[in-house]
Amino acid sequence: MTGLPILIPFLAMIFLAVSGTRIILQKIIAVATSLVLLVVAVFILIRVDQEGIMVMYAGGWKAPIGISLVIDSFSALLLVATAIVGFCMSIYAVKGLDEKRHQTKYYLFFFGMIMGINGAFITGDIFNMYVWFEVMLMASFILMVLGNEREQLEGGLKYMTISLLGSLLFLAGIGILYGHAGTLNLAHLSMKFREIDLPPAMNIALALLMTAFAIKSAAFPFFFWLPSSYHTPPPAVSALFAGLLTKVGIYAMVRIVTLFFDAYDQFWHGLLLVISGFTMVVGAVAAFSQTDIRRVLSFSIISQMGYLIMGLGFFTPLGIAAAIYFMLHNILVKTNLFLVAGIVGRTEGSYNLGAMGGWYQKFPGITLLYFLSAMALAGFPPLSGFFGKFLLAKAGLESQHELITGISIFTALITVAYMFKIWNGVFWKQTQDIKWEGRERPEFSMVFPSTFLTVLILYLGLGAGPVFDILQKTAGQLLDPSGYIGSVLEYENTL
Amino acid sequence: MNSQITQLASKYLLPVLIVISVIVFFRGHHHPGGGFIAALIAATAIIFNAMVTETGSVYKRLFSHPVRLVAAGMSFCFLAAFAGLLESRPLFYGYWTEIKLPLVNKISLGTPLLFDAGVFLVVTGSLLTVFLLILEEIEWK
Repeated sequence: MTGLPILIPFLAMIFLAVSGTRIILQKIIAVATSLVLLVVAVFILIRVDQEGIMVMYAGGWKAPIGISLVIDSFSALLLVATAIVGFCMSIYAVKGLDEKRHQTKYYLFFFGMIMGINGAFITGDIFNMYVWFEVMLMASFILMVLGNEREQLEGGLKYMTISLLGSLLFLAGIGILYGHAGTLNLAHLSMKFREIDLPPAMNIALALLMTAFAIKSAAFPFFFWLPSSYHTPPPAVSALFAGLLTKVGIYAMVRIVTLFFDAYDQFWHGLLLVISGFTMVVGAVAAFSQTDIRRVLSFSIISQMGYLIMGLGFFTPLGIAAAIYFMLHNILVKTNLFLVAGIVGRTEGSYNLGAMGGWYQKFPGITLLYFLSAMALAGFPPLSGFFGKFLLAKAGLESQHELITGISIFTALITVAYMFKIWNGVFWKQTQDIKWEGRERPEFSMVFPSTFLTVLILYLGLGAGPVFDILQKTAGQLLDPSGYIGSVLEYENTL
Repeated sequence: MNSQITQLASKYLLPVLIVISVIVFFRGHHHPGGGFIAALIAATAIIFNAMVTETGSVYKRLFSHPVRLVAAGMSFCFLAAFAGLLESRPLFYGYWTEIKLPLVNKISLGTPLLFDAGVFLVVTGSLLTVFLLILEEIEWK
């Protein structure tokens, strides 16, 4: 069971590789596989919730020696979120992506990326995590430039350069860790960090790792690659990136902070809060100043990343639980907003806010989909963003971080402003000179994923109570790593 | 490339490099070597050959299109990883069997070897795909 989230996409990749140019076959394989993945992910979540952390040792080699695959609640929740996004995107891409890109095997690299993301969530070994990051990045490089448009190549080059730099830092950090601690297993490393005095070089290793993850998760001041590349590929690719890629960086950051750092490390937690403040404000202000829907949303991703880092910086049970809630909310909402932007862009033929309008009258259904997601992102009750921001603010005030809490509320106001900018530009604005004749209507297979996501977003908001119960358990697991360490090393394997 | 020397060299180097590749492949379990390095050596031999002859004849002499080699290699890797799961053992669980051969005494065959063979095919296949495409494009002659 534990290995399936990696094996299923891999199997799909084999079939897709030999499928040649039979596009219909590829589409069937892709949608079926992503449905199976979703079912498996939900089963894993239920099992982890009932029976605790799942551990598997690859090849049967026990913990500190072999590579262990570990799924705790946090990983399981993210596996489900990834599977949901994967399911929606595989359906959306059936009609939402041109033939040329399907012929160059979009789905093959799609599942390569899903495999890399799932692998990064599952692994309990830091070098293995690096490998999964690389798998994910290689696939994402190809997806980014698939179609060979000039703009895409330019964006892809920027993205690739900065990502490879991040990988280099990550690898250097792992090298130092291994050199001094003599182990790569996350649980074993965590134990070493707690039990023995480690040389100062370990701090350098942690700094390298945190920088690498900050680059991957587009945190201030390493965010510039994201807005210059995310708007270039077609929406079937950029929605996938927006939903998942940066979250893997945050996932790794949460793992490292909860496993390696002391209960309250003044320096690191303070630094995280400072970074989060800048990330939130800079991202939101920049988003407000854009006129291309996709660029507004790209900067918005950065701004939302700040909230996640802030929750991690509080480092209280409520803060972590709220950050995970916000992460799930953000994965669904961001994917959905990019999907709606894709539908709008396909019908309009452009993404420029100035040139469109009147969608409220013409397509009330799509307007509703956008409205709910936008309001969720802006944080109106009773939608998911409200609970996320409310709980984060509560956690901040409880742990006496008034300043950063104030900044986060201020950012929420700017978020409302730029979401209304899109609302006004695309949907509400009345324009007489727009001709609707001869334009493609949105396909059902493109609207369905968006509807599915909207329902989930509504559930996440209206059913916040039961969801939050699971999240508090998850936060408990993360803040007390002895459970994680115990189940990976099976206790008799102590130092 | 019309040079007599390179043409002769590649003709005689091809079998030598393939043999070295096989040796490196089999010693990889306990010593430096293995599927990845062996694949690099094998692919070098074939690409060198493609540089002095036509790429078309290289495609003909390969068992299948290089992309299919990649797919076959991935299937080998999948089987090697999946084998353990059938007996509810962990992923990548190693099964071994020994075969007695007259010349080299005995050979151990197992799922790790299958996995390495998969790696060999994936690496060879992807290198050949890329380089044969480039060679077709720029036409060395």
